[in-house]
Parts: sequence; structure tokens; C-alpha cells
Amino acid sequence: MSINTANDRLFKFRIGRVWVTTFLLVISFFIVWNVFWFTHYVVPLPQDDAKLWSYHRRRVEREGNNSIVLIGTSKMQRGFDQNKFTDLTGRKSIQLAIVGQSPIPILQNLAEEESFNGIVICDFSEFIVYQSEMYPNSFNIPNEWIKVYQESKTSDDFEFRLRTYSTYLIANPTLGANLPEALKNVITGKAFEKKTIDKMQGGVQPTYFDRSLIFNLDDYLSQEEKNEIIEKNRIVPIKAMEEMIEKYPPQPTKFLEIVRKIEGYVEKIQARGGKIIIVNFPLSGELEKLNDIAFPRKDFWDVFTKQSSARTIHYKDYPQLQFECSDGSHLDAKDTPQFTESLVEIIRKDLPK
Amino acid sequence: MVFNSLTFILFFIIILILHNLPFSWRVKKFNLLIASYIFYAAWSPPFVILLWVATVIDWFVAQWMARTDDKKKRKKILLISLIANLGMLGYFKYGNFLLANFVSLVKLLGIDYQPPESSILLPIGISFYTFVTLSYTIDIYRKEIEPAKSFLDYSLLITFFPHLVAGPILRAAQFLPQCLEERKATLQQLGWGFSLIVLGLFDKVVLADGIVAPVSDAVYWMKGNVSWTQGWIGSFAFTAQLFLDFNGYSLCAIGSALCLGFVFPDNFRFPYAAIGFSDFWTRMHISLSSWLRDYLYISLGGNRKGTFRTFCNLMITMLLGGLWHGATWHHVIFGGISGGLLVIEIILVRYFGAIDFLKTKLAQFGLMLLTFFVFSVSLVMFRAPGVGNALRMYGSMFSFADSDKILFSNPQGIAIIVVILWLLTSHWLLRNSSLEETFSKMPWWLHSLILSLLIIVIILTPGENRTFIYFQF
Repeated sequence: MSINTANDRLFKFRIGRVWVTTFLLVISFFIVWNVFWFTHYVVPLPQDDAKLWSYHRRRVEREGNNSIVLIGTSKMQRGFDQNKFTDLTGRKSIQLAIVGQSPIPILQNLAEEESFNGIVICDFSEFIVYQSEMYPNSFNIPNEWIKVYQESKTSDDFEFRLRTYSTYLIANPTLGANLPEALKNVITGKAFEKKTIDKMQGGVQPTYFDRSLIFNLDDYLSQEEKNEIIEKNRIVPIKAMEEMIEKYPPQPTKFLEIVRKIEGYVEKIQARGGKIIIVNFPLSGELEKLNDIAFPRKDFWDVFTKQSSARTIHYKDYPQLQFECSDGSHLDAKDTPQFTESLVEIIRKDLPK
Repeated sequence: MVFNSLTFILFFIIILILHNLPFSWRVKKFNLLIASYIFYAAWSPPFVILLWVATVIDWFVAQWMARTDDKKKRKKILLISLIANLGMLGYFKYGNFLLANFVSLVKLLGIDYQPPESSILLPIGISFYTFVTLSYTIDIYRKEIEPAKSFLDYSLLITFFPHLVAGPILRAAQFLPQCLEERKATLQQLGWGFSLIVLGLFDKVVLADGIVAPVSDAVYWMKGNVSWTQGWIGSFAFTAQLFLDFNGYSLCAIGSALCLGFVFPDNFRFPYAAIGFSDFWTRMHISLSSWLRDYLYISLGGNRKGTFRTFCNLMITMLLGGLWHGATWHHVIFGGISGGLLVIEIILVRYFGAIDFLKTKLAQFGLMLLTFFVFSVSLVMFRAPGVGNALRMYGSMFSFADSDKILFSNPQGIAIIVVILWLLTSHWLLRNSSLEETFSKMPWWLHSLILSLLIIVIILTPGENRTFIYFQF
């Protein structure tokens, strides 16, 4: 045997003392670490990233025609109460909506999966769908997440679960964009400044494990911080819509092309026995007004309804779906159970018994 | 399953418990074998069949070969093993490459051949376990070892999970004797085995994935030109990544085997302290370099047939070594560069080797830096996604090109420089020593403090869970 082995060079050391001390030092460090960070807005939550999405996408694969899939944007993630839905229907839903992204790539991905014939509830916003078709690279994020899913394996689910559980054991604040940045922030003390939850847990949205975003800000933020976030969320979509209107004024003919593309995917899934339900979620205030001007209902939504074989629901047609959104585009936490209940009543006949 | 995953930690705890329960040695080996198949199947269950095929073929070939002394017959039997093993490797690893080159070749002849779309997947670790099985049958052919008496022991040689997917490439003579009597780690082996796993994970998770890989990836995946500083930092970052990633894997493999009472050979010996390329390849990926030396270079005649043949043999060995790393032309070219550097070194040593100054500490240090520098430059061809990209990268590095694209932040760039300096210094200081010797001189509390710090940083290091570089080979 070769003499070049770790075993040949093995030396005597106080193994018990070394490893017990190591264990105690590590445990003590993490007790102090957790106490510090859990009092600084760090909560044990996973981040809404490609891996979490991919984990839920594989659930669709497993559950097949029994699955009820939610797609769309943060409006779906914040507005649809998955627990309430389960209470009302006895069925679990799978959240595949992605913050700020068009649902079309996800719908296409589901349509291309030959075995999928479940129910899709899609949050449809004329603005997001139209904007995504206009701007180059706007499908990058959904496509990248789909790629992560396609390259993942069933065994990754186990690792993913373990990593998620570990976030409950050890606080996982984002101290920097990468390790060297984090080190710099630790050295300069920037890492220890008190931040709001969305900043503390990275650029990626913190979420519950079922991918419903943390909407109940009351648990984590002061009124002042809450108002700041609501104001930011109110302004961002208005600015984005104004910018798009200026750059790419919405055209019904272009929209019709998008509608036809969507219809191709809808037909594919429904031909296999699946069902697509498209819901236009509530808007309020300035954003609602702007949306009505940019996308007049008769030229856009009504055209879409006529062309689509999917079940279509517009909040304006159902008084029970009309709610005031504090930030203009997302339902308030207090209203989501009621909204979900009303929606379930409307679509109940489309849901499996 | 990868070492840097929580799944592996859980898996390993279960294996350790099972291995220390009062089962018979045979049952324990059987447990390890089943665990190794689970370890492999976690990546892709169907490819376990391929592993079985390789195992079974070489088992029967070896038994058959041992029954005859007729040299011609033994050669023919060996040929079966070579065809089966290299055939599988050729199909899965080089199928797409050969087809693409065939299409290009016939296109030159004016034939527009469109082959059906190929979807050959590369089974993880195939290059490694093929070399293990090949060395087994070649050693029996050369009558250097006897065939294994137990199919269980032999299967464990091929499949044992710590080395299965990325080495060290084991030889039957190193491993089979260890299967004869019960292996149970002593407390010292267990304690040091865990220390090696921690050191390996630190190399991989913190230094390789946390610091150097994001920079190297950003530079090498850049579609346009990069600035000369970005080019050099990216190039050095990959030199560091290659060692840290693979040494990290090897330390975890050696450490986890040691925790189970098994002994693996070293795979790295502070390679960036090498003085010249002959020295370098005795320190870098030792189990592959020695495999290529013993089964290819020596089989070709080694240095026994004159200078010209020696040079040819070196070139062939290194070109095939390059091809082993990947079915691409840029890997082959990297092999060619490595072979060329060895040839140049032999010529230079012949003419200038006797100069006394070159034996001084200062000159040796300078030669070490030169070796590191030249290896880093040659590695651009290895890492770049293609020959064109590599040439573009060389263009940026040597032309003082400028670019306004920001690929990494200042702290990231500084961190690369620190890691490189740390690697060079530690390798130089430890070039004739070992980790064991270093730790043996430490007081127990310092050993403990180092382990604690490493564990804490490993747990806290942000970033994605990258697989090991050598999994793709």
C-alpha cells in the first residue's frame, strides 16, 4: 500500500477535548447569533426563489390531474388564501405565480407537459401580460425558474426540505450580495444595522413555504415601516405602467396576438381534460384608473373573453370580488380570506367534487 | 448526492451508526454497498444499471483471465474489458463529440448530413469508475494482483461511495486488502476523518463556491470582451477554484472513508508549490496522473525508447488526459499544452538544470511562481466554454484591453487576490509537509478553535449549492 495516506500520518490528539469544545463553541455561537438576529426582523422563512418554485412545480408533476395550480403575479401570491381554499374545498392548491412576471411561460410549460390535466387558476393582468410581450428579456426569470425545475431531480426535494427546516434552526440574514460583500458589511458594521424584513432577507421576497408571500406585515413591521412599503408598492406599478404607455402604447391588434397565443395553451390543456380559470384581480385608486385608460375593457378584456375558451372572471363583474387595495394592486391581508371564499363560490362548479 | 448537502450529512450519520452496530463484517460491507448504490442513485437511478454492467463484466473477465497463462489468450480477454469499458465511456462521454465532428468532416466533403437529435446524458462519475475497473483488469493481466476472491469486496471497490463519483481513483491493490478484515475507525481516525471533512467543506463551500467561483463564472461566461484586469483576476480565480473545489471533494472523500476505517491515497499534495510541471503533476490530482503514468505512458514505452519517443509518449498521454476531462477540443488542446510544457521543461532542465543559482531558495520560489503563472494561463483553455472563448480571453489578458462592464465588485476582486496569496503561501510553506503534521504541532484548543470557526463559516456562507467541478468529467 502507498505510504501517502492520511492514515499513515495520523497523529495523536485529544479527540474528545477537541470535538466537545468545538461542539460547545459552535452551539454557543449560534445561540447568540439567533438571539441577535431573531430580534432584528429575521424570521425563519424560506426565500421565494427558483428552488422553492421548482419544488412546487414538481408537486404538479406528482399530483397530475388532481392538481390545482395557481399562476400569475404577486397579486395571486398575496391575494389568494391557500389555507382558506383548502378549508372550503378540501383540496390543496399549488402556488406557481411569480412576482412581477407574466404567467404565459408557466402556462406554456404546463401545456407542454403531456400528462398535465389539472385545474389552472390564473391571475391575469392586461398590463403585465402586454408589457412582458413588449420588453425584451422579460421572460428570463420564468424561463430560468422553469429550467431549474427541468434540471432538478426528485431527490432534490429531500435536500430542499432539509434546508428549509434548517432556516428554523439558524437565522439566515442576508448580510451582503456575496461572501466578500458580507464580510465587508460585517467589518464596517453595516450588516448589523436594523433593516425591514424585505431588505434583511435579501433581494428575494421572503415567503411562507407554500409560496404565499408575507402579506401580513403587522407581524413584523411598525406602522411607519408598513406605510413606507405600501407607498413604494403603490408607486412602482404606476410608474412602470406610465413608462410602458409612453414607450409601447397598448394596441388591441397586438393584444389579440397575445390572446391567441394564450388560447393555444388553454386549448391544449383543456383538450386533455384540464380546466383554465382566468381571473382579473382587483385594482384600486390611481392604478385602476390608469389601467382603465390604457386598456379599455371593450378593446382588451372583452376581446380576450370572446376569444378564450377558458372560464374568465373580472372583478368588476362580481361585487363580492371588489375590495379596496391599500397599495393599489394587492389585496390587503385582512381581505384575502373573504376574496378567496367569494372566488371559490363563483368557480365551485369548475372545481372537482 | 453531494458531500456539501444536508442529505449527505444525514446519510452519513446513518451509515456511521450502521457501521458501528454489532453486525458481521460481511453484513457491514453489504450495508456499505447498498448505501453506495443509494448514494449514486440519488443522482439518476437508471445509471446504476450501467455501474452494475461495468462491475459484472470486469469481474468475469478477471476470473477468466486468471485461469489461463497463455499470454495471447489473456490479451484477447483483456481486450474484452477494454472494449466494454472504453465502449461505454466512448458512447456516453464522447458520442455527441464524435458525431458533431463527423458531421463537420462530411460537410467539408460537401455532404450535408443531419443526424437525428441526440440526447445522450453523461452518467456521473463514469470516467472515474471506468478507470478503477480498467486498472483492476490491467493489473490482473500484468499479474500484479490476484483477482478478488469475493464479489462483494470487488463490487465495493468499484462502488464505495466516498470515491465513486470523483475519485480518488482507487487501485484494487490499495483497497481489496482492506476488505479482508473488519474495518472500524479508531477514535483518532474518526476525529481526524471529521476534521478532514470540515476542511474539505470549507475549501468547497466557503472558498471555492463562496468566493472564487462567482468571479470566475462571471468572467468566463461573459459573452463580449473583458478588461485585462478582469481577465487575469478571472483566470487566477479559476486556478484557485479548480484546486479548492477538487481538493475539497478529495478531503471529504478521504475523511469519510477514514471515519469508516478505510484508507484512501492522497489526491493532492500542495500542487501550487510545484517547481516545474513534472513536479506539478506528482502533486495535482495524483490518482489520475499516476493512473495515466502507469497504464498509458509506461504502456506506450515511457522514457525507455529514446528522447523523441519519450516526448511523443508524453504528448499522447497528456492529450488523452485532456480528452478524459471533457469531450471538447479545448480540453484536448489543454492536454496538448500540458504535454508541450512537460517536453519544454525536460529540454530546459537538460540545458540549464545544472546551474547552481536555480537550486537556491529564491530561484526555487521564483520557479514556483512561474509554474503557477504558466499553469493559470494554460487553464484558460481548460475552463473557457470553447476554443474561441479561450482565445478571446487570452486576447483580453495580453492586450491591456479595457471594458466598462462591471463583472464583480471590489470586495470580490480583493478576496480573489487574498485567496491566491493564501494558497501560494500555504502551499509553499507546507510543500514538504502535510496537514497532519501541521495540526499535530498545534495545541488542542487551537485545533478546536479552527474547526469551530470553519464550521460556523461553512454554515453561514450564503450562495447556491454548486456541484463539484469534477462531477462533469
